[in-house]
Amino acid sequence: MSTGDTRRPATPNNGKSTGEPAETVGDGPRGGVLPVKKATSASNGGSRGARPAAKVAGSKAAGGKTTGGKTASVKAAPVVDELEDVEDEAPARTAASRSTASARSTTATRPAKAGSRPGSGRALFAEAPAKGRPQGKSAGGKGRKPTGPVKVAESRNWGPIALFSFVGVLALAIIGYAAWPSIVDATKPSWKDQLASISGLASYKGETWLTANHKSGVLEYPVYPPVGGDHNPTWQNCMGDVYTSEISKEQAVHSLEHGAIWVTYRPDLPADQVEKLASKVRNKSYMMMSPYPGLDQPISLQTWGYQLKVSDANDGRIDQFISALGGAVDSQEPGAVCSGGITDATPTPLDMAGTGMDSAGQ
Amino acid sequence: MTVATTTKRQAGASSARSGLSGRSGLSGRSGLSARSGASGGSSSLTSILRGLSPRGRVALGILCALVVAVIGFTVGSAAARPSYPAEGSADAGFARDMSAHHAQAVELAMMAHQQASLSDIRTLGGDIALTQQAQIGMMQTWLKHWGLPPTTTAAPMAWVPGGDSMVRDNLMPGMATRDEVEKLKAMSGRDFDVYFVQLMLRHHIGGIHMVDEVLKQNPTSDVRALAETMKTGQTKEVVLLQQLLKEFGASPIN
Repeated sequence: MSTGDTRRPATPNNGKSTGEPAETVGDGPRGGVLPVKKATSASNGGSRGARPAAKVAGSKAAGGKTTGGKTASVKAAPVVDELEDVEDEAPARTAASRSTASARSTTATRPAKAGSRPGSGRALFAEAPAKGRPQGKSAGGKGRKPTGPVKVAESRNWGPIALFSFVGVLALAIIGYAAWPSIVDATKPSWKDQLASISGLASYKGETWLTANHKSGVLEYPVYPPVGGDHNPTWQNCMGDVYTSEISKEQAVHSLEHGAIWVTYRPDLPADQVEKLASKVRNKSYMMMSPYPGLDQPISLQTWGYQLKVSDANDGRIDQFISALGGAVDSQEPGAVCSGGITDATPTPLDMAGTGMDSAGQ
Repeated sequence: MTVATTTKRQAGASSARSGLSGRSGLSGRSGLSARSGASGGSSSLTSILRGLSPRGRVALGILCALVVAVIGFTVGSAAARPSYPAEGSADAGFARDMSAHHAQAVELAMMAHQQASLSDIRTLGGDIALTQQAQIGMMQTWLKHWGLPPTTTAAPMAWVPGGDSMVRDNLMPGMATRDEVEKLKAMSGRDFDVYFVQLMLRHHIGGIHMVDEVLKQNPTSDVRALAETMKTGQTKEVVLLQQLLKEFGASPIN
């Protein structure tokens, strides 16, 4: 720390009056000498100042300096000697710099005594030199801080730092606040995320046969029980209706279009399991249930484009399916109702008498 | 070295001119202190900081930053952010259950609109069906806006303390069973008119009961506003339905 301060006053002068090599050499010793003299522990300055000198001078003393700088706090006396040697060497090499050097040392000593205040005005220059001496920094920084640098650091101007910190943190808080909802939204699982977690779910979304035209008569579907496609103009009532006999699949598909979940079961499903399913459906909006003869699995749930087949009414995926797709969340006609439909349970679709569309779907 | 030193000087000089000295940890401190000296001495903050160790200063800085962040976030939240009802809230439960409750009112009212023998009751049926269907749309939009699913596997009325005792076969207060709905559907003439009024009267009273439950739980402003208008509107209709029943010479059903 103190090195930087002392070096600064010296450098500008050096640059003008003396050659560059002289400056570097001069810098080194000075920085090194001062801290060591004033405080045995000011090893920061010692190592930093010493290194450049060592490079330029290429002398033994320089080498000694670096080592001395490192161990300055421990071996104060030897370091001082070594550094002094260097100081002598440097001026000797560049005679022209002598006067400057002495001038420098005066400037340098003063700051060191006064806690480096006067020199701090030129500390600005130290930024660049400091970069050029990474070794000095890394080598000496940790061990030396507690003793020497503390005095210097106390003069840091905290006003602007506090101001910029305040503004920065405030800005971060505002940004964080603004971004928070989207972060929360992103982490909240959508119904599609929930669906994706259901193993064995079949999706027929995007299939070309997933059309939605109104057609009368018996219709054929690529998937049974059907999960969508053309359908009867009338829908099966799906206000939590539990049908105990087979219903028209053509009408049921219309209910799927309105967003209903259609629970189907093979007629040989045990009665307790049928009741278990019925308890999930009964009087629930956008749900209906019916037996489905010829079903390849004991139980099949379907909405428009999705199907889940399970073998047991206690399978946890049933609730997952209902939870994800219930409430007509994926309705093809949002707002379409489940009431007002056919409540008769008959496998034959309602015939639109006189419309001439009876064979349209066959 | 020589070249490097020159470059350093130049860099130093330029930074001196611009007055930006705080970046380098080593020399920045003294640079800043010079500025503070030039601007008229150290502030009280500086003198306080002077008494702290470097670690103490860092800790103080972090503490200040945290305090500022919390204040900024809290003020912002309180000032601008609408708070959305969460999963499990009365608002969400009400929006879901009242949607289902309304859906049956629409079912009954649409039957009346098509099947009633008295034109007044056909008109009343159309009025109820359209109003409540629109309100379902509002409640569903809330849920979507709140990021909540339109339904859960939770039992109806779970958002009301002791709500499970009000529910039978997933039926909420005042709702008709499927058998009762089918019975009405099979009726015609005056019988239909009377039974419709009986079912809708019971349905409305149950609905008002649900509205009271959500109003007790300090709902958000939108929910409160709609719940209050539901109560006002349905209370008026209850008076009308009771009057009709009286004219029919019939009694309410339980």
